[in-house]
Amino acid sequence: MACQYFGLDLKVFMVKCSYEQKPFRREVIRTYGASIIPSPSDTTQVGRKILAEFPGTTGSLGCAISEAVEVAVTNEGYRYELGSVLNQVLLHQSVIGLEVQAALKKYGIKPDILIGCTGGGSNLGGFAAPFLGEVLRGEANYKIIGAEPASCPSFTRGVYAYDFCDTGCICPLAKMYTIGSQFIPSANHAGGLRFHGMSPILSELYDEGLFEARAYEQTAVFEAAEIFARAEGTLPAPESSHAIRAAIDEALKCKETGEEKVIVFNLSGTGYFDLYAYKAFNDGTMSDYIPTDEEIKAALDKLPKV
Amino acid sequence: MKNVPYKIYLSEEEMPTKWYNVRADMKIKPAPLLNPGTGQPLTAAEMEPIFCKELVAQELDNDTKWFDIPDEVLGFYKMFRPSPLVHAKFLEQALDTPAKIFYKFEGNNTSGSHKLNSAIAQAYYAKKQG
Repeated sequence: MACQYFGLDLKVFMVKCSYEQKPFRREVIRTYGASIIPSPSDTTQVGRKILAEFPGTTGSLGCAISEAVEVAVTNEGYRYELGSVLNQVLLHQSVIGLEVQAALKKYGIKPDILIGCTGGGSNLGGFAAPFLGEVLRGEANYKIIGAEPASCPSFTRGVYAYDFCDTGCICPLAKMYTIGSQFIPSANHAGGLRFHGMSPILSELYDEGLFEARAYEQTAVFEAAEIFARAEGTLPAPESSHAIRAAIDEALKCKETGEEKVIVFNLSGTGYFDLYAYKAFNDGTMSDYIPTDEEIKAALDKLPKV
Repeated sequence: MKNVPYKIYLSEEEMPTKWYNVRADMKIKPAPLLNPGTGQPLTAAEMEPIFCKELVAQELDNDTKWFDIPDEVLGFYKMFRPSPLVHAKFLEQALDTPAKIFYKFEGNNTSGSHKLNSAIAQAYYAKKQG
């Protein structure tokens, strides 16, 4: 959509299991004129290497990044566009938080708790940026919460270390909370947020204790999505529903204590591309997969030595 | 909280015209990206085959607090921004909670998510570079 607006060609590497789970997102992308390849693919050197190492893999964001970066650096006229993690994306997404700040100010509302979901960090990092700034400058104090999936728990079970940003290990190293670039999230995990690492900005702020993180299992997340959809009308994206889960939990704590706290969360998207996941939830076939300590250790054992 | 509407909408004139760089307010800056070959911080020259120049400059800038949003990007933003801040009073009722819950709704564009906010900026700088 963005590329078409400026008349640019776009080639999309889409994580293979998302390509299969979200056929309608695929069609929207094609409608705006882009070509789309399920990743890992045999169209790139790094894709072929990953396929040889992990035959039949359902892919990960890390694989798709490797392939897209390879195409960008080896083809004249191509550059890599990304959705999260890096500083430039958090900068652009600050527009969300600035609007929130202006809207709250307009009505003299002071938030107590701010919540966003975290995959690579663009959601929380954009939404909470101006509020984190107030905390950093000593002007205010907020409880800020990042809500992540228990199936890809970079903050809550990862380590703060230099790691590759991609599975193919061709990208630069970033110091971030990571569960290892070789970690591949379980394919039954439905809701995005499947990046192994985390924004270096949020990682540093988390390490300094400026916000907390919580991990949620996907059935609990979809229960929150259902409550929200039925009450507020909007069908939420599974990613955003991690934030809804945290907001509901905080609101229920207020019910116990009788506190009138002001909770603000980012409903970052709608769930119309995720109806297969909603189907699994509605059919009662959705399961939770929490990686074992051994699985995470195996991925962390492959961290680069810096 | 008495006169707060269900949806708070900013006018187009009240939309932010600059992006905020939280790194400018961080005492300890985020660690730099490293070149995996040399173990040294990645230079602008090493990043430019991957990203266009203005995005590299933004990536490496830990000090500039505000970046102007280009007019072309602001124009595109107006197709779906400003986005509403909603007072989720129906959710409050459903939960029977004294808490006040608000949500920022970023799903009001065809892509269905907030990702378009950065995608359009990245496409703009790429186009500008040619």
